[in-house]
This record gives sequence, C-alpha cells and structure tokens, in this order.
Amino acid sequence: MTQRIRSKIARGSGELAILSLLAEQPLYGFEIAKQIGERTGGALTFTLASLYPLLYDMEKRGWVEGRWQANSAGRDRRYYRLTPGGRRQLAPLRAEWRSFFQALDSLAGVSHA
Amino acid sequence: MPDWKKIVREQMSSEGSSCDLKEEIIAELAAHLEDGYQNEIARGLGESEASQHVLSAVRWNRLAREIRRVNRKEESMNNRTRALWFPAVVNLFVATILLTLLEKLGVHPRMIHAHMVLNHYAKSHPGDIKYLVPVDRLVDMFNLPWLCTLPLSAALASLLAKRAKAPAALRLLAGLAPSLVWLVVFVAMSLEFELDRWQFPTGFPLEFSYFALSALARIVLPAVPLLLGTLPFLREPDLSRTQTN
Repeated sequence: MTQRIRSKIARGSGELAILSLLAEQPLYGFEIAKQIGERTGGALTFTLASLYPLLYDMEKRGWVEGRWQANSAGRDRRYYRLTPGGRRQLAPLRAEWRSFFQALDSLAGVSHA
Repeated sequence: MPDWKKIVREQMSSEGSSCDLKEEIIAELAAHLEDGYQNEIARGLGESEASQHVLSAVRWNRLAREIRRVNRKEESMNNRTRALWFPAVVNLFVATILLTLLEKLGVHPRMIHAHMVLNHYAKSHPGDIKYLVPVDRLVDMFNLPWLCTLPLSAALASLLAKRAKAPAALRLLAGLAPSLVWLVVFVAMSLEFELDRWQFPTGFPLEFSYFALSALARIVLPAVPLLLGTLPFLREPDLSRTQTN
C-alpha cells in the first residue's frame, strides 16, 4: 500500500515536472531529465527506466507529442512538445499539487503545535 | 564509442521485451545513453569508465516492465474499442437510421391489440380518460416493423466484433447494445423515482404499468430480434476443421 502511494506520488510529480518544463520549450528526453535534476537541486531525478515509460504514457494520453529533429550538436533527438491537451492538464495538476502540499503543511503544523 | 542501439536491443531482449519495442524507441533510448556517455566524457572520464557508469545506472528489468505496461494499456484499450465500443455504437446508429428510414417511408407502427384494449378500457372506464393519453403512446413503442429490422443491425455489430476477435460475451454485448442502453436508462430512471410513485393510484395502475410496459417495449422486445441477429455470430470457429484443411 505504502509502495503504491509512493509510486503514485512519484508518477504524479513526474508528470507535473515534465508538463511544466515542456510548457516553456520543447525538449528531448536527456535534456528533460537533466533540467529537472538541475532545477530541483537533485530532489527530483529521472532515470532511463522512469523517464521514457512516463513520456510514452503521456504521449498516448495526448498530453505531449514527440518529433525527431537535430539538436544543437547535429544529432537526431526526439523532441517533446506540449499539446493543447497537455496544456489544459497543467493548471488542474498544479492546483491539485498545491492543495496537496497545503494539506501536508497544515498537518505538519498541527503535529508541531 | 559503443553501439548503443545494439546494447539497448540486447539488454531489452534479455528482459524479454525486444519484440515489443519499435525501432523508434530503441533509437531514442540509445540516444539517451549516448548523451549520458558524452556527458561523462565531458566530465573527464575515460571511454570505458564512462560507458560503464552510464550502463550501471540503467535498471533494464524495470525499463522493460514499464514499457510493456504502457504498451499493454494501449493495446487493451484499442482491443476493447474495436471489439466492443465501435460495434455497439454502429448497432445503435444503424438501429436509429432504420427507425428514421421506416418513418420516412411511411411505415407506421401497428398495434391492433393495444387499440382494442384501449377502446375496451375507454368504454368501461370513461372517467379515466386522462390515463389513456400516455397509454396510447405505447402504440408507438411497440413498433413491429422496426423490431423486424433489428436483426440486421445486431448482425452487423456482432460481425464487426467477431472480426475484431472479440470473445462470445463481447459479441453478445455488442449485438444487444440498443437494449442494454435502454436498460441503463431505465435503471437510472427507476433510481430517480420516488417510491410512492410506484404505488398504484386509485382506479388504474398507470405509473407503474406505464413504466413496466415502456421497459418491456424498449428493453425486452428489441432484445429478442437483436439476439436473433447476434446468434449466428456467437459460434466459435471450428479450429480443428481449419487445421485439418
């Protein structure tokens, strides 16, 4: 049960992180993982095994779409961009996580009182 | 530099996932490993150290399992759509088209029996004429010409489901779709009904009988021709005969 909750939280936070990042600009897998790691100070990390299945799942749900194009080094990479459907998901996901953290915060406040 | 595509293919194959993987996915995973490798080289590691470092971070069994899970999810969704939802929608659509067509052609429902009952009731209970209005609408419900066409739409739906390799239960559901939709509507309606409306009013049990007759006309009666149309497609193919031929 705890494992399931943990995996749902990891999955949900991963979706929000990817959607937020792609809302800024299209990125390919390695860059997504690198930027998430850097911008969260290593608190959120993606491995090959966690990143790509999530990207494929989001692509199948129509939130992101991948397209091959050359990167700055001239190598072909699959760039992911946000679809209109993905953009629509972003606001409710943000709201959901905000209320989740507020709930945790209020709980922690009670326990410290 | 290592052949990353070859490595991905070999590793995923050893996890039993090579055939699930499209070439595009292999190329993308290989590109990720290549970027990781270049990153390690840029940090000053030697070639063999860099590739070892990159590969040691990959949990191949988890990667294979997760990709399989995503593929399975899509597959089962597609299969269910082809085997059930699409045929069921076709069934509803064709049944509606047939009804409209019959009306346009001027083929109106005939229910001589209902008229006889109504006439008889009107004569014996002249004061209850208000109850006769909705009962009269039942004549439209028992649309015999339309019921006769329903095996066609059911046959088409169950044929589509069979071609999508649906099991017999799904073929049956696709064939009975119009009746099942009405069943859902009536269950929802009955949940909405207040209990006292089910009580027989004095004189004539209109509320309940109208509801029950509507259910009969929309669920049970169409189910019979729909079942007739579905039955020929419920039989499983004789595999032994196919093999010997």
